[in-house]
Amino acid sequence: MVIEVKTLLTIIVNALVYTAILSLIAVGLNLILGVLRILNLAHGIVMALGAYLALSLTTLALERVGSIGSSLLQGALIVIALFLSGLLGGLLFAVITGYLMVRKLIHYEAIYVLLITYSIALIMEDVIKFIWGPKGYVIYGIYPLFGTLEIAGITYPGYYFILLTTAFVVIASTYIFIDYTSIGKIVKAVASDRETAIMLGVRADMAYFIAFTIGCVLTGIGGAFTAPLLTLQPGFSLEFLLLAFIVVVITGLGEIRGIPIVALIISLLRAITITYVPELEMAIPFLLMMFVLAFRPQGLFGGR
Amino acid sequence: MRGVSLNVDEGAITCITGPNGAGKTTLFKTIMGLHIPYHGSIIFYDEDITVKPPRYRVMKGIAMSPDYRGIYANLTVKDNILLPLMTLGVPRSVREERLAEILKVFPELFTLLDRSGTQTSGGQQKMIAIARALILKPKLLLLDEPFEGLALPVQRRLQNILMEIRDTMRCTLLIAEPTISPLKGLCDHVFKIDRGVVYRG
Amino acid sequence: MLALRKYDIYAYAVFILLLLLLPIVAPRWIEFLVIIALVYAIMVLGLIPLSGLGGLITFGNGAFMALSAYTIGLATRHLGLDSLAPILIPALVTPVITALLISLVVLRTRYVFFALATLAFTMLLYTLLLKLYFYTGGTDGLRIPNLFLLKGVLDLKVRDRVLGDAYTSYYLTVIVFALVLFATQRLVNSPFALSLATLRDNERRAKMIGINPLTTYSLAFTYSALTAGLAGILYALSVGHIDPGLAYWTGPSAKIVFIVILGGFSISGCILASFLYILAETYALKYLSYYWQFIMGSILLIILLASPKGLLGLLEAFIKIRNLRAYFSLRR
Repeated sequence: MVIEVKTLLTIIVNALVYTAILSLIAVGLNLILGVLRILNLAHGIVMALGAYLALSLTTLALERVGSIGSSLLQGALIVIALFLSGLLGGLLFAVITGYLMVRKLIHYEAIYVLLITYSIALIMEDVIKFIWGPKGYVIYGIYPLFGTLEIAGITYPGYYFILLTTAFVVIASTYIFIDYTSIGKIVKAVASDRETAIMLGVRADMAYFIAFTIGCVLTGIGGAFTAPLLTLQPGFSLEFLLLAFIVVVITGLGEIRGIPIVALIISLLRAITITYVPELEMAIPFLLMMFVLAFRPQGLFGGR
Repeated sequence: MRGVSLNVDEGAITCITGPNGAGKTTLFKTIMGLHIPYHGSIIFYDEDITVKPPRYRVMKGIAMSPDYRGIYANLTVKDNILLPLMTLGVPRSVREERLAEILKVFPELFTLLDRSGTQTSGGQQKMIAIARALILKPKLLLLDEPFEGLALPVQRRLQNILMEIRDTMRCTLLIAEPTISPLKGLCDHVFKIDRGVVYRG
Repeated sequence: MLALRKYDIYAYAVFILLLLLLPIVAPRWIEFLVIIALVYAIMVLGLIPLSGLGGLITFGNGAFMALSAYTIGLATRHLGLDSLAPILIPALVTPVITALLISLVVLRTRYVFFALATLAFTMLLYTLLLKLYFYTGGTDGLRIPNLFLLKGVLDLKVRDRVLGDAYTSYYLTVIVFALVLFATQRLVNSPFALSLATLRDNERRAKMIGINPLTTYSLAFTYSALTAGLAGILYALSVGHIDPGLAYWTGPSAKIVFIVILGGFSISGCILASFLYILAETYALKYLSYYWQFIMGSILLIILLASPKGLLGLLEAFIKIRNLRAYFSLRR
């Protein structure tokens, strides 16, 4: 079996794009997991919300703005539209659910909140189906705005570059926020030891809410920027969600540092598997997860 | 806990001793607001704070150093100490000022500031926990087993620090220890607690 | 609540009797509903040791249901199997062995992580079942034909109508349910149950007194896989059609978690909750089939939000109902 440079390159580029999306989703998930210690079963819905909102907003933007002329400006507008939809989707979900959940979380058991996320997932799936319908959507008109890049004889959509840059900026900002701002440090403290934080006067519910909102916004943005890449239909976020789960388990609970690295590994594995053995697409990442669990259950980057 | 009736004098060092499980930590937790009592009340400077959340009490001037240290590994020593000020929204400049003041009381912490919270010895962590409570300039400082696990010279150092705090900071100290020995010479008043009942000792 | 009281046995015995006699008076659709409710009840009972006593919520038991169901399905499709008896053991062994194997890895995690890992497992199975459509029929699923119980010896097929015009599999289901009920009752009152409860309360202390968390949890986990496997077989036989949705995370995997919590982790509570849930879901599917998820989700959410004390409120309600039932069965 000869591995061509072209195939290799395609694999790498696809993996990079996938890494960007996966990292956004996984960081969002792990933030919520690490701080609130709950499994947000509705996480896929957040991604879907971001994506479907992106569908609507970009379609709107493309119609209204078609006359501006400058492709660069149009491109910029689309990026803003995408970003806003992600932000909006995340915020919407965070505010509605977060309010329901966070207060309860402080006082009641985690399973209880987990079930709330489950019921919300059920409800929202149908709500999305109701608003946008069950058929698949493809967003046209975005790729042409960003031109193409040619690397080693293969052309790639310029949009890939936009996606990668956005993901990088967003995730880097999150890291900076968590590590260098007061609020970020408070969130870290609550995640690590809630009782002591409360003793010191921290408002744990605010910390929870902040972490939850950021987690949702990250996921929403991930969903929004994914929208131009594929056919939007109910349940499309499932695959990302599963892989995000696997990334989170492998990286370690609440450790958002190592996520892009693990996401890259998983994405590469996935890209390779799809090229040569498509049926085992999900099996390989899962096996990797089992392997890591067997020898280092706290995750590759997990401390305790 | 039953039958706890405690009057703490302002500006003095009051010590509570009793065997393990007698209820010292529960008492402190109740004062701090981590635990709401079924009966009784807590009056702080003429205010009934029995059901107020910990944050309220912190803002009113109560601070606690727990018996288990509770230092964050994912924060630097500096951030650990400054954490209460961050939660109260105290601006950066004031935080730096307070830190400088605290370092005068605990100069040994100066070289540790940039380390991760747990890259320190047990004794140092105790100091950090106390410094952290102190940085709020509290009116009431609760110290739960501050001398636990400290070497003798460190204990003596801590005794001096505590006396300095009482004298220069107009702070009321409430200290809990299982035995009276590290508290010799330190206490203005002593109470004993046994199986949830407090009485003068 | 979990102690075996004398009138418990009577209550359950009466219940089983009623179930056996039901087909005489009830129409076919009720009988079918009862089969599904019992299938779920079997799975839910299997969760009680692991999740109730041991405190580990698993989202992966749909996978074990799918494993046993597909064992039968694949055998009928590719090996021309037409009788139940030869495939019975393999269909049960598959989920049990799988559970034992993955428990070695998955049980190194706890709580949220554990839920995640089991969820990933069931979804992995789902995608495998989906993608390997040449073997598994993909989204179309597999049809389970009307199998002989034991060809040559008993010329009775699973979906033949027997007493009271009910399927043979109906009575099979009731019998299996009775067995699982009995087994779970014994388990829950055994020293094993105490080990699990101790592990849940304080794992470190449990280890110090000699309880091995891995083996204890593994056993509980395998028991839940066993019951799920039984449920899968019964489901396949009665419904006659299986698809990858059995392993999907919003399928049986999640439903049984909800039911077991709704039932307050008590045996009678769970049986009642299973029946109520299946009833609610059937009606939601019937009247608003397109948006049934919305209905179910809303009902679930309302129930959850309405119990201000979290699970305790519901639990109390169920205990009261349970005591009522026990009271009525006490024939004096």
